[in-house]
Amino acid sequence: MTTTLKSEEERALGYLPLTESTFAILASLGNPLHGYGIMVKVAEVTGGEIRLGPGTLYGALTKLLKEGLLEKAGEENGGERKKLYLLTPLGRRVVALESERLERLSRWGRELLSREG
Amino acid sequence: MEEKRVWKFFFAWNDWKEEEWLGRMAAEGWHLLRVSPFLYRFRKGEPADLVFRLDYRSGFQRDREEYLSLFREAGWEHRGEMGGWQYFSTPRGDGKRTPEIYTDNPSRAAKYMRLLFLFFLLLLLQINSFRHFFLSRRTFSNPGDQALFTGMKICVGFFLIVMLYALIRVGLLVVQLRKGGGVPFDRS
Repeated sequence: MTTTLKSEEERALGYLPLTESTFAILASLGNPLHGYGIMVKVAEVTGGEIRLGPGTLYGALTKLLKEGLLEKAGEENGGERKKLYLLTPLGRRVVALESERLERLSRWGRELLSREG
Repeated sequence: MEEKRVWKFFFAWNDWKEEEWLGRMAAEGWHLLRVSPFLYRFRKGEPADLVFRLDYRSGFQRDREEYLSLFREAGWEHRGEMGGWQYFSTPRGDGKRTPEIYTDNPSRAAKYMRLLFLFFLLLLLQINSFRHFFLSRRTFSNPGDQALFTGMKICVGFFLIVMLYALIRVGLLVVQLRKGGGVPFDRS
């Protein structure tokens, strides 16, 4: 049991560091969204700082599904059937680890700046 | 309606030039109707300020609808397909930011990696004919056979050189993109 837990943690660590696009996609999928919903959400949350082109997003979604960081959460009924994506527990762990890593880095940067100030 | 055909081909590592050319055609009022191997068909209309982008993707069957709907919802119109090249266009918009289908260098590099893989496969498939024409010693009693063999040898040799050159050019592009800059086209 402990060995599987450990390997899961190692697996999650293996994805770090994430690209900005990958982080944004994962972080926007706490609730199920379809592809275009992800683009809108990322633009909203970052105030347009991070934008996702459809080519970049499609490639990332395909890859993240294959790696098990995302899963399909059924289909949304509209004029056309659209896939919904959702974060898996592994994906959630990757977001947590990456957030901690980024926090350590930004704390380091802020310390430097406060000493100089 | 006036229509015209243009015979044209492009190299994979210069696909951004093809995108710009299609944009210039639209600006002159030539609207892309159809894409076929080496042949474009255009129809004359009002000039339009469009951005064209080419993606390279092949081999998806079930996922194709998902792929196309993602582009459609993001405002990109699928204008045609040719040997795995997917042609898209979108209005340029307010001009503050050029619309892009790829918004970071890793995903842009991945597109050229898919092409690299294709070239590598094509090269691999030719290994046997390479061995047949270049590594085996053959003598022919009939001069006709000898001429045919030499002709084939030139064809295979030419193909190999082109494929190797393509591998190097696309490979260099991937390396540049992964280093995060120095690409011939300005996309940020």
